[in-house]
Amino acid sequence: MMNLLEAHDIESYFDIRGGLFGRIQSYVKAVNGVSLNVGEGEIVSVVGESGCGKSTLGLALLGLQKIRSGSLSFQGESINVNDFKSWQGLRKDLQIIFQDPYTSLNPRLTIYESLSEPLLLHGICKKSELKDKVGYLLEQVELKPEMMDRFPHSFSGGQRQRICIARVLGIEPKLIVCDEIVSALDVSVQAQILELLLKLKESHNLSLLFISHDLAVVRAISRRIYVMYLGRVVEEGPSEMLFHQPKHPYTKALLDSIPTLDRSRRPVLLEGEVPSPTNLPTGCAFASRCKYKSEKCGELPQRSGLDDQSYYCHNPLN
Amino acid sequence: MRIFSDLTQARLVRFRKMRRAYYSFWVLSVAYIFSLLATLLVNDRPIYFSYQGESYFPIFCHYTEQDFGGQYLTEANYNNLLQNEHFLDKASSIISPPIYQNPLRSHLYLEDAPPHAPSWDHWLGTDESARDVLARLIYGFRNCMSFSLLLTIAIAILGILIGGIQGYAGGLTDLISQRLIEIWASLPFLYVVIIIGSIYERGFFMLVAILALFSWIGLSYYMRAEFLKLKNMNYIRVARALGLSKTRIFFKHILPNGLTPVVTLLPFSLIGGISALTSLDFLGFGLNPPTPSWGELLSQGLKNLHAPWITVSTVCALFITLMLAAFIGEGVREAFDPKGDEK
Repeated sequence: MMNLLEAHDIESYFDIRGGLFGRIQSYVKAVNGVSLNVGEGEIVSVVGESGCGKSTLGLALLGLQKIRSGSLSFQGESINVNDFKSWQGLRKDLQIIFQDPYTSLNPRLTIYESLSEPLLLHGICKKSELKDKVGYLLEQVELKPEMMDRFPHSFSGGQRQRICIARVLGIEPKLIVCDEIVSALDVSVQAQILELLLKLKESHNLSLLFISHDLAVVRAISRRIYVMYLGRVVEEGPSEMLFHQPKHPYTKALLDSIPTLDRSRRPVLLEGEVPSPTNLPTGCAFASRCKYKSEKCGELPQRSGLDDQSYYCHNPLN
Repeated sequence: MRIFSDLTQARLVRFRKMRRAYYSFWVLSVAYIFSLLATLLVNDRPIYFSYQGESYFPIFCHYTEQDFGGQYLTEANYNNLLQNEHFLDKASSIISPPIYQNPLRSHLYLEDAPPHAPSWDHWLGTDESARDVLARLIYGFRNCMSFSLLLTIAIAILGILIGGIQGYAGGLTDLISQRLIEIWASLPFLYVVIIIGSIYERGFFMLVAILALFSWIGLSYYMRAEFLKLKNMNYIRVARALGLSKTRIFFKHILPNGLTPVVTLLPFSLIGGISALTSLDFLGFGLNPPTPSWGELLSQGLKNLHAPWITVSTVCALFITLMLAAFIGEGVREAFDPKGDEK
C-alpha cells in the first residue's frame, strides 16, 4: 500500500512573547517531533488527552499552523512546509473537518454559498451546474437539497456537521483530517455521522486521519492508531493490538480509564502532574505520572518494537 | 438570492420595533433629502417662468438683463424683475421656491443695522451681514450632514482597512503599526488643522480629509479586535484550508461578520462629525466664509447677544439634529446587541 501522507519529525511550537518589543521568550511545544503516515484508503487515528497537541498536529498537517521543522510529503512529493504556494497546490487533495460544527460554517452565507464557493474556486463544475451539484452533495450526506437556501443557524449540530462533510466532499479530496468531528454531538448522532463518513470513504475512495480523544470511536473505525502524549507519539500500531496488548504505560492508562458499566471494574485514574508544555522534561514526558518509572526514564526513549507496533518506552509492558 | 442574511434581517426587524430610533431615522433622512433639494426649495430665483412664450430656468441657467429687456449683460436681478410691471406683463406661470431666500444675499436695503429681528420676510431674522438666518440654517444643515456622512464613510474605510489588516496579519505587522498609530493619535489635531489650513485653502474636501486622517483610530481598534477574534474561527480555517485567497477571506468571510462595531459606531461618528465641523467653524478654522454653517452662526450669536434669534434657532437646530442621531445610534446599538441574537 502506498503512503498518501508521510510526516517526519514534525515540530510546531506556539511562541510566548513578552517584553517591550514582543521578543519570543519561550515556546509551548505543542507538537514536538511527530512522525506519522497515512496510506491510501486507510483510516488512521490519533488519540490522546486534551492538550497533547493532536489538534495542532492536524492543523500543521494542512499548513494552517506554522511548522517549525520536519518534512512532509503527499503522494510521494515533498512539500515545502514554509511556502504558501506549495500548500495552495495541495488544497484540492487535502482537507479538514473541525470539531465544532457551530463555528465551522460562516453564519452570513447560505448553505448554497458555503458549498458552491470551493467548487467554483477549484473549477469542479460550471456556474450553470452549481445548483445541481450542491443539491447532489447535500443528498450525498443525506440532507434535502431544498435546504440549500437556508442559513446555518437553522440547522442542528449533526446537520451542520453533515454540511461540513458535504463541503469538503465537493472538491473530491484524497485525504480528510477529521479533528474530533463527533465529540460535540449527541451519541446517537455520533453514530450516524461516523456511519455516513465510512460509507462516503468507501464510495469516494477517501483516506481519513481521525483525531479524537474518544477511544470507543477510534476503536470502532480505525485500522491504525497513534497515541500522543505531550506533543510526542508514545505508541503506534494496529488498533486491535493496541487495545489488547498496549506496550506503553500511557496507552494502558488510557484504556484503563474508560468508564464502564461494570461496577466491579472501576476506572483506574492516572495520578501525578502533567508537565508544562513550555518546560518539558528532558527525558520521557510521561515519567512523572508513570507507575513503572525507573532511572532510565531521565533519557528520551528510542523507538522500539516490531514494525507493526512500536513504542517509545524504557519499561514496556508485556 | 437574498440581500441580507437571516441575522441582518432579524436585526433590521428589531431596529424597526424600536419606535423612537426608527422614527428618528426617518425624520433625519427625510430632512437630509429635503436639504439636498434646498436649491429648489430655498432660493431667491424663480424655478421656472415663461417669458414671451419661451421657457426659462433661472436656478439652473444663466440669463442676462438683456434677455428680459434690460440694458446690461450682467446677470438678471430677479427680485427687481418680479416687481417690474413690463416684465410681469410678458411673463407667465412663474414658479417660485417655497422659501424665497438666498443664504448668501445680504439684505442691505432693510432699515436699521443688521442683525434684523424676525419678521414676515425673514422668519428667523437676519444675521450680522443681513443674510436670512433660516436659509443659512437649512444650507448649513445640508453642509454639515454631507460633511459628516462623507467623514463617516472615510473613517469607516480607513478604520476597517487599517484595523482589519492589523488584526488579520497579526504578529510584527500588528505590533509596529500599533506603535505608529499611538504616535499618530498623540498629534494635536487642532494645530494640524490650523497649519494645513494656513498653507492650503480650507476647502470642504480638504477638511473632510484632515478630520478623517485623525478620526479613524478609534474604529481601527475595534476592527483589529474583531479580526483577531474572527480569524481563529473554524470557518476561517476552513476557508484557508479550501485555498481561498487572502483578499477573499478578508472581505467575504471576516469582514461581514466583523461589521457590528462599525455599524453601531456609525451614528455616533456622525454626531462627532457634526460637532467637529460646528466647533471648527465656531473657532473660525472650518469652512471658508461665506459658506453657510452652524458654527459660524453660533459665533455670530455670541458676538451679538442682543440678537437672540441667531443663537436660539441655531442651538435648537443643532440640538434636534444631534438628538435624532443619538436616538438612531442607541437603536442601532440595541438592535445589534449580540444578546438579542438567537443562536
